Amino acid sequence: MCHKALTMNRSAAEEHLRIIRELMERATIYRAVSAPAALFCGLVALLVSGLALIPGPFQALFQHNFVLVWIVVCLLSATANTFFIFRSTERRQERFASYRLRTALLAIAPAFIVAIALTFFLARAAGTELFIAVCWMALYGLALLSTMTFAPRSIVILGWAFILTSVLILCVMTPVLVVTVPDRPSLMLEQLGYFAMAGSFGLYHTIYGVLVMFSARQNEHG
Amino acid sequence: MVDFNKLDRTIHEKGRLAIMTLLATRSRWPFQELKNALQMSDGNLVTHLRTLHQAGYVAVTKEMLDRPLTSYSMTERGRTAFKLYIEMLEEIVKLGRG
Repeated sequence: MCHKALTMNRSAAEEHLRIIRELMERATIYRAVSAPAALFCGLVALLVSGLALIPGPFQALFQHNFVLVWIVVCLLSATANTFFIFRSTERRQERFASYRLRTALLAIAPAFIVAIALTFFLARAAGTELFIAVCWMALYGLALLSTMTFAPRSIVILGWAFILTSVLILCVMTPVLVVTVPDRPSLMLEQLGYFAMAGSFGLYHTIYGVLVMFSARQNEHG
Repeated sequence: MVDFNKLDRTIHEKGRLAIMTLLATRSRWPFQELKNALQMSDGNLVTHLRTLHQAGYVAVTKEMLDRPLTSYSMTERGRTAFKLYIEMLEEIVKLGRG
């Protein structure tokens, strides 16, 4: 009788500890990049890259203003992300400036500050477009991974995708690309910069946005 | 040997345990966020919070921002009781395995 009572208490204790652990994990999870904003950012990045790479009226303008174009895309994406996070908190009747948002912003801030400084430094030299794109990829990946202790798995995967892509490009880019078109290295590197941006920020964000939105819809109906 | 009478009955109820767990994760929880996270009805949540407040485990803050905002936080007494409760659970699990 005594043994039975203890066994019941043990399973109840295990059940209560499980509830505590799961709730604590759930309470601290925060998605710093909203899925619709990622989809928006991805599609804009693909569109901009398309306009810069496919011959047309915008090609020259876009190719000669690589940094400026992507700063505008970044600002648009940040605005979209803010809007979608705000809308989501409004829908849940939660505070926009939540503790979790502040924690996420503090976590990603160092990588973004370094990205701004590197952009300012590299943008003054010609032919650095691809390297700027790789720096953005690496630092964006680091920013996402800096939230990994409270981020969902999809954000961590996205962060690693950016890091690994930047490392891969760094391994193969070195002098070969400059030598390829010695008379016009800058233009060549601008094109490659757009390819890199389209393949990473464009494609990865689009895939992430679609998958997260799809799984969220599945969960709603499931 | 575990003295089961020491198990805090106020926290032991699953709804209140969930509330205490969430309150332990950060300094303040607005009512609506608690409700969303726990998927409880207003009435149920209010009743549990009142019980915890009466036990001295939960503090209530009422603010008037753009709309009235009621937030809840764990008191020192609540934190101690919650810690003791978890230690008791761990002891029960250990004893059951032994």
